[in-house]
Amino acid sequence: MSFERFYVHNGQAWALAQVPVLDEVSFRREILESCAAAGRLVSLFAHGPKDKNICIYAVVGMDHEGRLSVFSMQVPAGKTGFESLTPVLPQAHLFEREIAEQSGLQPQGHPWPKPVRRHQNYSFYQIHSEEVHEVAVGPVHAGIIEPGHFRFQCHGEEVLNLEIQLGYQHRGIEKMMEEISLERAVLVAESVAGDTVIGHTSAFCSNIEALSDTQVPLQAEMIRAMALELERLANHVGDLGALSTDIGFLPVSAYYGRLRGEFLNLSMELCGSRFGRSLCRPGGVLFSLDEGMIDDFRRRLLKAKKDFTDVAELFFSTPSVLSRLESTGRISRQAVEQLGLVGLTARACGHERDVRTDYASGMFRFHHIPVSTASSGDVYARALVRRLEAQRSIEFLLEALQQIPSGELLNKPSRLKPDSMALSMAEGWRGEIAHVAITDSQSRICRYKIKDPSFNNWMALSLAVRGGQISDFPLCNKSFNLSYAGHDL
Amino acid sequence: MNSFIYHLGILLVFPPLLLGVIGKTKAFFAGRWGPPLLQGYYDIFKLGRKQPVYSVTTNWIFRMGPMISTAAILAAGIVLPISGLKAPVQFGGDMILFVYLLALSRFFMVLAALDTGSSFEGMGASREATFACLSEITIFLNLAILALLSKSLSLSGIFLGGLSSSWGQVGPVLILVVVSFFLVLLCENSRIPVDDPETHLELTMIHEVMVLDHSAAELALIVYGQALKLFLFGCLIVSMIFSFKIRNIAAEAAFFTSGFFGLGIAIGIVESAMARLRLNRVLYVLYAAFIFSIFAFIVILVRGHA
Amino acid sequence: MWQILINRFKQGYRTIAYPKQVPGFPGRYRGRPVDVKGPVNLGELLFNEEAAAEGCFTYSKDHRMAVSNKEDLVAQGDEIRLAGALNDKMKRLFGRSLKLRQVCAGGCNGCEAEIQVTNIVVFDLSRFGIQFVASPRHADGLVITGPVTKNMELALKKTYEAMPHPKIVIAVGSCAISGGPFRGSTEVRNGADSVVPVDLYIPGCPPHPLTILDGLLRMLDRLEKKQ
Repeated sequence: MSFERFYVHNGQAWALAQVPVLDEVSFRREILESCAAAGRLVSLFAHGPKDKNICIYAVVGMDHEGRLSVFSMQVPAGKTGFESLTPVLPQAHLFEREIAEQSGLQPQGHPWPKPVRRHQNYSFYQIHSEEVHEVAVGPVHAGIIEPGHFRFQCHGEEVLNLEIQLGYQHRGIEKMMEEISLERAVLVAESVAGDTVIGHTSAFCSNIEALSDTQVPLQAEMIRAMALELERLANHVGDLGALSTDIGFLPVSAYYGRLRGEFLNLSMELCGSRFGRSLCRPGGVLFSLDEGMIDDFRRRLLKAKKDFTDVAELFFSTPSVLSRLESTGRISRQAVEQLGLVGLTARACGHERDVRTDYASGMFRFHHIPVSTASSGDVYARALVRRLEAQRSIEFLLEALQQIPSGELLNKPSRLKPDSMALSMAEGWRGEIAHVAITDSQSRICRYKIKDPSFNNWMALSLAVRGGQISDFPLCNKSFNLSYAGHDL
Repeated sequence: MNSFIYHLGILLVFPPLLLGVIGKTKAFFAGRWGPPLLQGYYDIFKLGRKQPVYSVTTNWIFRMGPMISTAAILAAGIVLPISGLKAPVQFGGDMILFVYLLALSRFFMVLAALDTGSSFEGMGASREATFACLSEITIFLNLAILALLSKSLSLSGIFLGGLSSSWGQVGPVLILVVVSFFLVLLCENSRIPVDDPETHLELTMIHEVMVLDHSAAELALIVYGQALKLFLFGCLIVSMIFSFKIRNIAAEAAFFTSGFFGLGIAIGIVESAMARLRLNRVLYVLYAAFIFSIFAFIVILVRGHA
Repeated sequence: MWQILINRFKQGYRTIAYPKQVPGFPGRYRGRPVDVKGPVNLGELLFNEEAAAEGCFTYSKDHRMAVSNKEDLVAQGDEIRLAGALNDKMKRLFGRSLKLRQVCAGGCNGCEAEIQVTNIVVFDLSRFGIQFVASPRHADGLVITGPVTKNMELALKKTYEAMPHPKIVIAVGSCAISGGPFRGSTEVRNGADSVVPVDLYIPGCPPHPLTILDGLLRMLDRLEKKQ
C-alpha cells in the first residue's frame, strides 16, 4: 500500500493539511524504506497541540534529489508509546529520546531510553570490574568552554566506553519560540549557538519568509551567503588554532588566533558584531557593503588568505603535529551512514554531505562551492577538511565581493499564513541546521523545532574515543568541536 | 656559615626567575608580550596570602604532602653545589641522597594526590610513577658516569672542578650525558613535549593534575617547589657545561647566570618548536634518554676513565 | 624549527598597545549607549540594532561599560558610573596576579569565545598577570557567563564554594547579568547574582574583548590615570 509522497524543498512553506497522515505501521515502514533507498532522517519530532492528539512528523531528506519527503503519524489518545525505530535504524536514536522527553511518548524497544536534556533519573552505563575505573569530567571543565558531562569507563589509559550527558545549557528555546513575539524570536534564534549566529538566524528568517511569502532581495541573499561563509571561515581557523593549542604547538596557535580575529573584525565592519548579530532579519538583512568597504574587504581577505596559507603549510607539515593527529579519533564511513552524521564530520569520512550543494537555497543556487572531503575519518582528516573549506570560503568571498547585486536590503514580511508548516536548512559551519515551524489558526508559531548539527554528531565523539587513549579525548573533542548549547537548546 | 646562607638564598630566590625567562621566550615566539619576568614571585606571594579550602575526603597527608615534598627538594638543593660555591653539606655518596630526596618529594606529592580520592589525581599519580621508573634510572646512570670521570662520589667533587679535564678527553660522551639530562629535565618538570604546563585539558595533564586540589599556602609551596626542581636539574646541566675552574667569584656567577638564562631560553625554544607528544609516546623520550646514558656509560667503561 | 622562526619574524609582535592606546572601532560597532532619553538597562540590553530606535538612544564607539554595582547599569543621559577599583586589600593581593576560573552556566558560547580571545596574542591578558586556571582551588576570581540554567545551578554553587577566600565574582554578558535573550524562560535563573554575589558586571551580547579587558583592569586599578 503506498501513498502519494509529499515532497518539499529547502525554504518552502505549505499547508499543514497537505502533509500525509499515516497509521503507525505505514509511518514506520515509510521511514525505513526511504532511508534504505538513500534517504536520511533530517527531523523527527512530536507536536502536541492543545486539545488535539499528538502528531509525530518525519522529514526524510533525499540528498541526491535535492528534496525532502514530509509525512506524519497521529498517535491515538491514550496511547503512551510507539514502536521504536532505533534497533533497525540507529540514526533515529536521539530523535526518539527527544520525543519521549518532550511529549511523554515512550519508544518501546529503544536500547538506550535516557533523557536528553533533563537530569532526573539519569543512570550511567557502568562496567563493574576490579580493573576498570570510572572517570567523570564536567560539567565544569578546566578550560573556557561550555558545560557537558563525560563519563568514561577506562582500563588504565584505554577508554572502553564514553557516555556523554548534556542538557546543562537547556534554556527552553523551543518553548520560548511559541510564546514570544517575532521581533524577540529572531534575537533568541541568534543565541541558539553563539558561534553559529548566521546559520541559525538565516534558517529562522527563511522560515518566516516562506510562511509569509516574502521575497528576499538578491542583495540580501548575497550578504547572507557571504556572512555564512565568513562565519565558517572564522570558526574553522579558530578550530585549527585550538587544535594547535591542545597539542601544545603554541606559536602556530597564536597565529591562527590572530587570523580568526581578523575575520571576526570583518564581520564587525559589516554589521557591528563580531559574530554576525543584527545582520539577518526576516525579509533580508540590515547592512550591506559600500564601495569603500568592498575594497577594504578585498585587501584584507587577500592578506588573510596569504597568512592562512603560510600558517596552514607550517601546521600540516610539522611531523610532531601529524603524529599527534593521524589515526587519533577515527570513525568509520559505516558509522556516518548508520548514525546519520552530518557536516564536517561526515565529509571527513568521505561522504559528500553538504546542504549548500544538496539542498541549495539562497545564493548557493547560483554560486557553487565545491564540497571538501577527506577520507581517513580521524582528527587529521577533520583538520584537513577545515583547511580546505576555509580556503574555499575565502575564494567564494573574494568572488562574491565583485558580484554583489544592488537593490533593496529588506522586504518587510507580512502576516504569517495560518495552519502552515515551513522547513529551512542551512549548512552551518558544523553541519546541517534544520528548522521546522508550524503555525496555528491564529498565525502564531505553535511549534518550532530546531535541529543543530551537534544533535546528530555527539554520538560520533563517543565512538571516536572508544579504544583510544583517554589523554587523546580532548583532541578528539576539539576536532569535532560540537556545540553544547546547540544541542541543549 | 656565610656560604650556607648564600647558598640557601640562591635556592630560595632564583628559581621563579627561571620560570619567567622560559615564559618570556615562549611569548616571544608566539609574538606576544607575555607575563612579566617576575610573575612567578607575584603568584607565589599572592597564594601565600589566601585562605585554603580543603576537600572533606582529605586528611593530614594531603596537608603535609606539599610541605614534606618541597622540604625534600630544598634539602636536595643543599647537597648540590651551585656556581662554584661548595654545597653546605657534602660527603661521599651524597649524589645518591640527592636522587632519593627528589624521589621522596615525588612520593609525597603522589600520596597527597591519591588522598583526594579523585580519579583525575589518581591518573596523574599513576602516570607520574610510571615515568619516574625510567627517569630515576637515567639520572643514576648519568651521575655514575660523572662519578667515574671525576673519581668522586660526591656532587661537590663532581661539579667543582672534577670534570675540568673530561671535556677535552671525552667531550662527545659528555654531550650525550647533557642531552640525556635535558630530556629528563623536560620529563621531570612537565615541559613540552612531555606535558604542557599551561594546558587546560585535565585528561592530558601529568603533574598539574596532581595538584588540582591544593590551594593557598600549600599551592604556593608546590609552585615554588616545582620551580626549584627545575632549577636543580638546570644546575646539573649548567654545572656540567661550565665545569672549568675560574678563580673569580664574580666571573663564575656571571657565567652561571648567563648559563641559566641560556638554559631557560633553550627550554623556551624547545617548547615553542614542538607539539606535545601523545602520552604513550612520552616513554620514547625517556627511552632515548636512557639509551644515551647507557651508551655513554659503556663507552666510559670500555675506554677507561683515564 | 627554522620555519617557525621565519614565520615568527614574518608575523611580528602582534600584541596591541592597550591600555596605552585604544584601537579604533569600526563605524557600525555598537558600544555604550549615549544620548539616552528613557533609561536603558545595560544589563538587559542585547546591543541589537533595533534597540537604539526603540529605546531612544544612540550607540557610541565607547567600549567601556563595566560597572561594579547593578544599579549603575541603568544609563540615563550620557555617562554611567564605570567600575571602581577593588578595596585596597584586594588590590594589593590581586593587583599583579589574578587567577580566574570560568564557568559557563548556560551561555551560548558567544561570551566564552570573546573571553578566550582575551588570552590570544592580540589582547594578551597574561601580560597583566591575569590568567585562566584549571581548578577553582587555584583561582581568585570566578567569571560567569550564561543565564544560569536550572541544570547548572548546583555546579556553579559548588565551584564558588571550592574557591579559597578572598574571592571575587565577575558576570560577563547580558545573560549572566539579567538572563539576556532568555530572560523569563522557566529554565533559567535570570542571571548570576541569583546564586552568588557579583563584584563586576560586564554588559554586552557578547561584550567585545576590550570591554572585558577594560572591566578587569579597571577593577584592578591598572588603567592609566588619564583614562
